[in-house]
Amino acid sequence: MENNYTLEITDVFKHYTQRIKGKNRFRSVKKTVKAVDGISFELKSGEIMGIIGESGCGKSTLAKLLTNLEQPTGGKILFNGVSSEEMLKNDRLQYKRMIQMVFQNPFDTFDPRNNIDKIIDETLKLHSIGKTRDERASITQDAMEKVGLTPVDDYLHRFPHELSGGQLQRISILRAMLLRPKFLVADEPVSMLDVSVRAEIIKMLQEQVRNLNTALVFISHDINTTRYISDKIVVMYLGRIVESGITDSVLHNPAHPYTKTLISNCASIDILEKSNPIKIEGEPPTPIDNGPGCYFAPRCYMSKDKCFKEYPEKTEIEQGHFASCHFINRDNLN
Amino acid sequence: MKLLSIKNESVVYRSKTKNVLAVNNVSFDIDKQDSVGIVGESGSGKSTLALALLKLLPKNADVTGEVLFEDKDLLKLSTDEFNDLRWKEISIVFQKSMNSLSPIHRIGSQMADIYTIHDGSADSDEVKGKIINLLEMVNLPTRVYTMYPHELSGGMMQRVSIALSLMHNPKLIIMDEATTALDVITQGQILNEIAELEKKLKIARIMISHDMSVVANTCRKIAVMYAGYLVEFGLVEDVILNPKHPYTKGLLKSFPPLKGEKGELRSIPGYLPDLSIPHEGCIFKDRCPQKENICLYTAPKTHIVENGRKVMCNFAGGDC
Amino acid sequence: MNKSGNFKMKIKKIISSINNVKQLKAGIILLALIILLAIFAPLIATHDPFELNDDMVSPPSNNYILGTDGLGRDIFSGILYGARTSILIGVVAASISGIMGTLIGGISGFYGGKIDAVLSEVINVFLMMPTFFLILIIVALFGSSMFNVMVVIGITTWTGNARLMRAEALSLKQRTFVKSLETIGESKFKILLKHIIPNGIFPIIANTTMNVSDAILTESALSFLGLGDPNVMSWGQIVYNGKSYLTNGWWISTFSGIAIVLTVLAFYLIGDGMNNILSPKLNSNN
Repeated sequence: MENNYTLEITDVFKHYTQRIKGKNRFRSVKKTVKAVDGISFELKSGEIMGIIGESGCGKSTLAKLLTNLEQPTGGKILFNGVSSEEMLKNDRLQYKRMIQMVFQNPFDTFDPRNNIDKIIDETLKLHSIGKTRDERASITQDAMEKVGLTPVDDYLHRFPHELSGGQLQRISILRAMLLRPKFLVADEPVSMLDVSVRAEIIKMLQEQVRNLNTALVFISHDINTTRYISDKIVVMYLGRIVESGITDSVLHNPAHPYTKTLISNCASIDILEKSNPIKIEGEPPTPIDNGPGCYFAPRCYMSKDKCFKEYPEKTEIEQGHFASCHFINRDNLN
Repeated sequence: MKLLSIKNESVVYRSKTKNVLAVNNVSFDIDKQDSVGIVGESGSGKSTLALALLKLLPKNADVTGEVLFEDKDLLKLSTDEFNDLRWKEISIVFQKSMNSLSPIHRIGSQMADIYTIHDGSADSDEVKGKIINLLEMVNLPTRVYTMYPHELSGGMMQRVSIALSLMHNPKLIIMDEATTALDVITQGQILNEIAELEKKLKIARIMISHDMSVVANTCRKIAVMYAGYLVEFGLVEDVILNPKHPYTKGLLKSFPPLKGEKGELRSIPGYLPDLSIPHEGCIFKDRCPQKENICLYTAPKTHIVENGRKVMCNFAGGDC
Repeated sequence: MNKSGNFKMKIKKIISSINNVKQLKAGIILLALIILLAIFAPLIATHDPFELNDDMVSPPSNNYILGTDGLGRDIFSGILYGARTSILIGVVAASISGIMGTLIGGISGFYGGKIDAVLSEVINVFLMMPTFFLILIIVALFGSSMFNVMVVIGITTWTGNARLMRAEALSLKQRTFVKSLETIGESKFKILLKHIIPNGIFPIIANTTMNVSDAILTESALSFLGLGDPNVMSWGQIVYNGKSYLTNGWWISTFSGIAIVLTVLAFYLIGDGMNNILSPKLNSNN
């Protein structure tokens, strides 16, 4: 089964040290910002996993860790049991090729000085896909025709600033998929695009990863879109996973109070269904000195003493649906 | 009761090389205590339309038409007369309006400054009381009064902006993507608070957003704009549940639902036309799934259907 | 066809932006004039600049357009040939400083971390050094050939460029396209050479043009102190030669001095004009 890859993330940390002005104005204090604070999950070929959460929950840092743009301060990222460091040592290009990324800002994804032709050609050349310039050109031509970027010549000779966000994002996805990656990370790929073109990007992404049996990590703050595309969903808060499971099971039966709050506050186009948003206080704090208890406890509408004292265990609610909250099993209430 | 009535408003941006027709002949009314959401993509002219009401457009923009606010034509007022009206009668909240506050002065003193500009007679205790009142009204703790802008989170900043806009009890408040940059939860809460405040203070609101779901949840009426044209206007229930213009239909189909069947996500093919080039026929014809020959040459009229609803489509008369 | 069309469009754009910025236009015209004079010096010159004529310290006349110096050399011809030296030294020295600054600044800003800490300190050390005295010492130690002068000016003035490039690299490396190149697998050094430097080079180009005028002035100053290359004709030397005749032969130092001022002005205007066009902040106002 060569086509089956597993991405295994075990207890990954990313801590930054930051100097913060203390009480004494002339002396700064070193503080640890826990951007990603012990995350574990598993992803198999062909699966699409959505990660949702507010800004500052560590989802973008996680994307950088997965694509090796930044190195974790702790924990392991394993591809089929082989750690990322080892793979980087053995064959850097091979590793890079295996895991690709689509970025949030399509307008800035490409070097503004190169035209599309050069951008794609250089990528292919780097990974020795196609021996000659002509061969590479025909690979590009085919791929672009397949995703409907036609007439191809029109696009190839243009510079990034001459194309719209939707067109650029499609080229960005195409370029990543030309390398036939095993894993694709998409960090808010549609948040900067107009509503009317979002759907086509989402569909293209879905189609492309299905065709190559690539695993996709879809990071977004838009719950509706994430629901549409993903099989599994992970909810993050302050660098930790608070709930995870099959998409509809999590979204329709949320167990964690944070997930419930998030979903109830999500504006829906369905005006017949009046939702009652759960009110909570404030906004996510910077993840410094979170304390021993549940990170969400200070804002939670159902927090009790216990929540401030110990971090809740990950509990299984239904098959494959986990949440970390003290009050999932009723008998835990005291 | 009509509060604001926009009649045939057009805005043209003139530059050396071309003239861009950003808003094209838009008319609609806003009643007292009404709320209208203007939705459209970037380049649809929704922000230009609103900024034109407040005379906040750059000098190279030509505004024509009539904007009647309580029977005064805003476009004909002199700058002084208008400055009097702005903030007191009509106020605006921008996406990042807090960027305009000075980073080295406390929130309270800046708010007090703004207050006294429009009401010089008030003494300082009175102003402070009024401002603390305002902060409480938008669910901010009173300690914000002595804080600096950088100490506030995005949501708190936007709440301060809203408090500022409510300062002189305006009759109309314009929110230009005011909650767009905020997180889901914060956005949800602020939207709710706004709705409650409006009822209490009897304010009418224009809400500009690219997010239809936000408008659907918080406004009574919706105006859909495309390429400078008002293509559909009406009560939210009517427009969302029974869209008549193909553009509105397309937009609604590109929102995936949170519950129920996932269905098929569809986007609108093609791109916004170049607004500096004059066009023939319907502006939406290149992207329209149901265009016919007539659309190529005949610009559609705005049809008025039931409930004051307007649709600008050649097929809106009956069978569509 | 598309490409040639593009090319034509680009040229048109360049010409129109040159026309829009007055100082750039003036600078280019002035510089073109000076360069033409330097190129055609053998044709225009009335005398051999090194020839010792019989008329010493003779005022401007029909025979000697700008007069002669204390040894009877024709000033006009001297200035024409001197232009070659001055421009050559200016351009080469500024290029050395530009290339060094770009590389060091680029590496420092893009790689960051310890490399940046070390290189930044090196830049600071060079910034604090009294450059002109350093040049004096080196020239005194190693002799004053034209080559030495160019290299010395080059390696003592790169710090400004390095700081500019470092700042550019620091901001460019935050851009998405650099991150996307990293995920594609491009090596760091290639990203620096192919993407960071070309995108951040514009301020360096503008600065280097201004550096040319600084280098011309430095060379003139060295020559004026008697530390120039005695084998080549340069403006600084003519000024230096005229020093002792200031009372009875004002024309010797004056005309060569004006030549220096005009050339420096030309490069300065071009540098300033380019800064205007290339800096995006100022550009948005147009």
